[in-house]
Amino acid sequence: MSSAAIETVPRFRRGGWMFLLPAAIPFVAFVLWPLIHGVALGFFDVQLRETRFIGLENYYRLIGDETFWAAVKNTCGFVVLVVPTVWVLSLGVSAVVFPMGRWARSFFRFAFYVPVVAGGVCLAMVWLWIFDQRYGLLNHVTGSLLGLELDWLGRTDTALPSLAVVVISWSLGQPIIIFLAALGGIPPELYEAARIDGAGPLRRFWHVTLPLLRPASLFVLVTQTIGVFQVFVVVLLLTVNGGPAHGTRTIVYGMYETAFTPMYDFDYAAAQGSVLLVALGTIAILQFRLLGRKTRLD
Amino acid sequence: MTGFRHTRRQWLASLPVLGLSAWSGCSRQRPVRDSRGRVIVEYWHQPMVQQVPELGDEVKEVGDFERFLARRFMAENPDIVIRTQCLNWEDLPRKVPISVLGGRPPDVLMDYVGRTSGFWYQGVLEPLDELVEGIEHDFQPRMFEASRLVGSDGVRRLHAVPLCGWVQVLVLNRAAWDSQGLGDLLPTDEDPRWRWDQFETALEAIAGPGVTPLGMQCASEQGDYRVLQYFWAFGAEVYHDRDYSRVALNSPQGVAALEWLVKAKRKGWIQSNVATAGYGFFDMFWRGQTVAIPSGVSMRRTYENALRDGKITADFNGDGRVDMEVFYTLPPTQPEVPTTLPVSTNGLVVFRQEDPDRREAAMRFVKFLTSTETVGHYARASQMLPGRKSVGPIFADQPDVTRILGLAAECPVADMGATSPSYYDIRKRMPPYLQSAFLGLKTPAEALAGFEREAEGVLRGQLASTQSVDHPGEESAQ
Repeated sequence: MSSAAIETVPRFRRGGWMFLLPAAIPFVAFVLWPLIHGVALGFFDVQLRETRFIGLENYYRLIGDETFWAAVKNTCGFVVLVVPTVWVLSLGVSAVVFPMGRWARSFFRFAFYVPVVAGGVCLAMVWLWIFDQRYGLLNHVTGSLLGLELDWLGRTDTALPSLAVVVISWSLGQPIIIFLAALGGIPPELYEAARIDGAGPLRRFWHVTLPLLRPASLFVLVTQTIGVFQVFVVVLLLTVNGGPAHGTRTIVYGMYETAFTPMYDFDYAAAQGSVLLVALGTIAILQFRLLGRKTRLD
Repeated sequence: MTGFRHTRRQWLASLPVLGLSAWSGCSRQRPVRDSRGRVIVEYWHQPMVQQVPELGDEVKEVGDFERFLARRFMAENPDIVIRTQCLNWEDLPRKVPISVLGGRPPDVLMDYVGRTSGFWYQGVLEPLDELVEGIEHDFQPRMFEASRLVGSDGVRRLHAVPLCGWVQVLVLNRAAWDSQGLGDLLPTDEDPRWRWDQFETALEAIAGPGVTPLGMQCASEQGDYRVLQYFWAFGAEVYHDRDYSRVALNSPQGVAALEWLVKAKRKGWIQSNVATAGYGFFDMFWRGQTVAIPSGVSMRRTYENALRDGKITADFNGDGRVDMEVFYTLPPTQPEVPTTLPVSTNGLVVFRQEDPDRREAAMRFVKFLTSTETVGHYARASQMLPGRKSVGPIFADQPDVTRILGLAAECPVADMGATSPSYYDIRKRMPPYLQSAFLGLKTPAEALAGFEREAEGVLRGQLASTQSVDHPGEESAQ
């Protein structure tokens, strides 16, 4: 009995791979292979009729490309504006919503998650109207209150922050859900012990809640950073070609434009993608190193 | 044991699916013939023709006219089947190159030579000189010459057979001035030419709250010839003497032109959102918010469509009646500067064919499409200039159009570099610098210098790429 069972296990395991195939085939075909192909493409000069190896030429070209560096600067601007704001706001909202009753908590969870399921295109259209210089809600409000009417998306000093607000608005839902779930996982005894030790609400939050939310925070920060580095839809829909004067052009938008708007520089776009891949990988590793330490409660 | 048998069965079951996927993924070539043995020719085209009045209900939507032509051609050529596909303006610059990269381009494409020339330089088009042998003289010389390009062997060949084209003039809403008793400031119907000071006086007089007379956009490279018209008015050139190895816009004349444009914006002659506005200025024209747009003579047809759709609401004197009268003028220029106008050509190209039968069928179809009769249909329906002289005058019922086209024919062609190898790469880089100037981030001189620097980088890269492709031995020798 036992020897038969031992004999069957490896065969059964072999069969187990079959169950992975439905997920593995699309992953290999649509993620892994395009990724490898994309990185390789960066080392070639792709013309419509022929392709030739050019080594690091595309990467040298990137170094001197002012437009690419403008895109890098804007993308970093997005990350700086969006990621900390989303972290602080989602954590704050979660901390306020968590102690509420079940129904209230469900309502707020739903309310903040709606933008996630509504889809970027629908939201972008709404924001386009909000920012419209002539008929927009924002100018109506600022005009009435401050006498200030701006072309929010047409000025280099306001375009990027305006887009950041849009990205923040639809990025809050998921972190809130994650933080609410993580808050539910903190043992109440820890708060009780802290209270007995004389800790007030702020100290409890600082010394108990925050450290125990570190894994959730790490997840939120890593996913948000990756997501914001890939900002694209908002630039495509709310601006014309990442303008004005490249003021909202991001790396991913630049890749799209390089590859598909009649420049057909697929290899150069692939090189930009490879740089983004390396940058994101490095940042994610740094975040894991800095924030991924095991939590220790003093 | 059971587990093993189960796995093998699953493997076997999945084989047809995997095989089918691999086959569909790897099969790059389209079949040459259909089940009835007819040669299949794919024809992709611009959404250029919407209605052809003389064909009645048969042509009501974009694409109908091409299907009508295909049916007529197939009736005369039963051994060929034509499959038409109408591409919208967004798809044209994307879908076609992707189809070429995928190894399945259309056989015949009708598009702007600024785009088709890119395919020619990539070596994926058939030369079409054989189709015009003996009838070269019947094609409009400007369009014909724009379609003849140098190939990789250094010989100039016909890459596209010209179908029709347009020439840019300055379109005014004459009613804006007339309704306020300012009509005297404009050129006359008999002589629609301006002096520069007359042009500025007319703009000054009409500009005011709610009216920024000049309609233009520089949010993207689309329609850049509208902004460039003012550069040409100052004697600036994008390229000098057909030398496409460097851009020539950063010149004293170019800087003066951009300075004038920036001042015009400050004075309220150009809409404040010019840096980010897309094609909204056409709607502004219908609403009376702008009153002068560089455009082709098809503007009257566009106006008729807008009128039908209820888009025209311009009312300058508040009497509740629409004030709109399309008036074509020759774009004004600075003293001593001759008027140069951009001329654009739409043509038919044939992608390289491996199968001789399909090549022959595609050529026969292009010959049919560029017959005098078909070119006439296309030109009349789109209100464009016919590519062939034998079509005759198609604007005889519009004396103002005939007059302006007569004047335009005497003007030299403004060279946008539309058929140069780096056309799209270069033009794409200009709007951000114009935007910088309009937004006051850069002076006009700095903006043009920045554009020149970036364009030079592109042209250097293009030159290096061309040299290494054409002379691989030289690269390895270095």
